[in-house]
Amino acid sequence: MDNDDFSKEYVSEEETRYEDEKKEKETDKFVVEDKIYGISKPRRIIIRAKLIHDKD
Amino acid sequence: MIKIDRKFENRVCQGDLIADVEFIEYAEMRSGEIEISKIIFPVVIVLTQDCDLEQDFNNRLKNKEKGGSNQDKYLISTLVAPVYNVEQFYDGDHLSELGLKMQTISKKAKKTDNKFLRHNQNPRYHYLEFPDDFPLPNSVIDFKHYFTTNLEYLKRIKPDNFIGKVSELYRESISHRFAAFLARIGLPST
Repeated sequence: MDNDDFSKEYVSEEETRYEDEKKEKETDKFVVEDKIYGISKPRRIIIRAKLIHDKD
Repeated sequence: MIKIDRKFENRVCQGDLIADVEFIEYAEMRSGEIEISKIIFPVVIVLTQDCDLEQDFNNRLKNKEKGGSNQDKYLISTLVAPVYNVEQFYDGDHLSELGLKMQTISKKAKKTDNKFLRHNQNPRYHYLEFPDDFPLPNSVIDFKHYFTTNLEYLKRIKPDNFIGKVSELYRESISHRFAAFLARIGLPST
């Protein structure tokens, strides 16, 4: 079998959920006085993972 | 100073300011391994036209609830641009963690380059002065660094990462300047 073939897709550990039914709401992030966003700088992350190959 | 709409909307909107948005630089497979390189931008602004985003949302909702007959209004991706902290931007080191040194701009308000930036006379940049009670420092959009991201991904992270939305009049100004920047005619350097 071709080495590049793999049956199991890579799945990110960072799974987030989005609820379509979520109603409109006022965000509570605006009560803060300090600047809590935009302080850090863009950063690069490199992820390496082994591929799981199909055994068939 | 710009006005901010603080209401959270269920869909992605033009002018949304969203924190910690990932941009996949590449995903490469070799020798039984996959390598993914991504940049995480602390803040981005959504530039895709709001009518397109609304139609995408409505088309998907209709298909989900009533089993619509087509996916004609679905978007493939969303256009966004990074929003950089202006203090870091003045120093030219806002991309230092990516190993990039950018041009510096004087912090002195009377200097020409500073005025040009804050008065939006440089087509590449859009200066954003936020209200004091907004949790984001004054910032700069760099139109040259625009990129696309997956709409479903943005929708997933928006509930946790939504900072606010640039209100309509100001977002139209941004949109108009971005379109003008993209449509500029590149002339050879002399």
